Amino acid sequence: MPLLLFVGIGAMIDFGPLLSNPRMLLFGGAVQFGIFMTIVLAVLLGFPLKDALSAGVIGAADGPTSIFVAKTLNSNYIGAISVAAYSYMALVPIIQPFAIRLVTTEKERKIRMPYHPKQVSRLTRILFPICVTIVAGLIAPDSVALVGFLMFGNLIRECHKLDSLKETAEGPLTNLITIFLGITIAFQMQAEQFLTFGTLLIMGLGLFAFVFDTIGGVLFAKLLNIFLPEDQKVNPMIGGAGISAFPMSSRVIQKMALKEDPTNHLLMHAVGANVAGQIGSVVAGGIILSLAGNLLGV
Amino acid sequence: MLTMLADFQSILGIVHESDLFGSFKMMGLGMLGILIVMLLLYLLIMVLSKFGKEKKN
Repeated sequence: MPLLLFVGIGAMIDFGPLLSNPRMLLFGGAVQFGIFMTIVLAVLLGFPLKDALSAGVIGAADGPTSIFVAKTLNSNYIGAISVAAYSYMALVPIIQPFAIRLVTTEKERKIRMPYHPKQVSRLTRILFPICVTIVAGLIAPDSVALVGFLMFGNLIRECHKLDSLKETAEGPLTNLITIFLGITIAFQMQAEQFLTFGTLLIMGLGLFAFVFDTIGGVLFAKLLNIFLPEDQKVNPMIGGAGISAFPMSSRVIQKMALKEDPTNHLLMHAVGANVAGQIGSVVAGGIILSLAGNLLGV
Repeated sequence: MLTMLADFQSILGIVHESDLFGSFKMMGLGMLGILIVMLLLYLLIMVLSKFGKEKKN
């Protein structure tokens, strides 16, 4: 069921800002660092590996991915992980500004990034989802389900021949699956299983994951800036936009940029990083499943 | 160094040395895997953009 939700998400995403500015992919990848930091912390707190891996995927900032990975790994905390994933996605406007201000200076937040959009051909938009599925499937076969459904939804959108399917996918299908998923997860939130100290720790780990996702992306942007010339520097806040909470995160970054400098519009750069994060999060989920099975025997 | 680290008691239960090393291994390989996929996708977009432009011409 979480996979069907990806069809709707893919139908809603416009990869245009990413295709015209592909270096945003790097931020979509860097931001997933929070997932792995959280896995290590969860293990240190005493969670068994399968629960630690499932808790770490909260950092993917993607509800369906978190639920899919937790279900596949047969985690005991699927209810708590679902609640944490969706709750913190809604709290992005509170979490991200705090995390970004922690690791950036006012001068860095004022870096301007002019936007020069490149034309993206329709052929590119159609071939992109097909090729991404092939590439992701070859590198991490366990990710092909997640990536494939996301890209299938996007292909329905970009082919411009299946308008009724596109409208169904992004509207009724998404809403129906959300309702059924919520009810299904709720059945697993029995009081004796849910109201435990472990659930509280999972909530804490979720917050840790989101904070370190943001910090990871921002620090990566700052690292890149060491090597970039003065006129091509990246505003580090764009790194924070690489989390998968779309489009909330890009709006937060735009607001923060305008607050520092009312003439500095970073929205399109942030949207590019945000959609890259959508790809990064499903790839991360797939990689975790691949490694969990092959390497760790989970 | 590997033998110096033993299982220890944590907040929720016992932390096994194998789980801890597994998590660090997961971190290293996971980030490497994500980086490789993103770089491949970056190259893919560059190729698709060029292919799309040539087709237009």
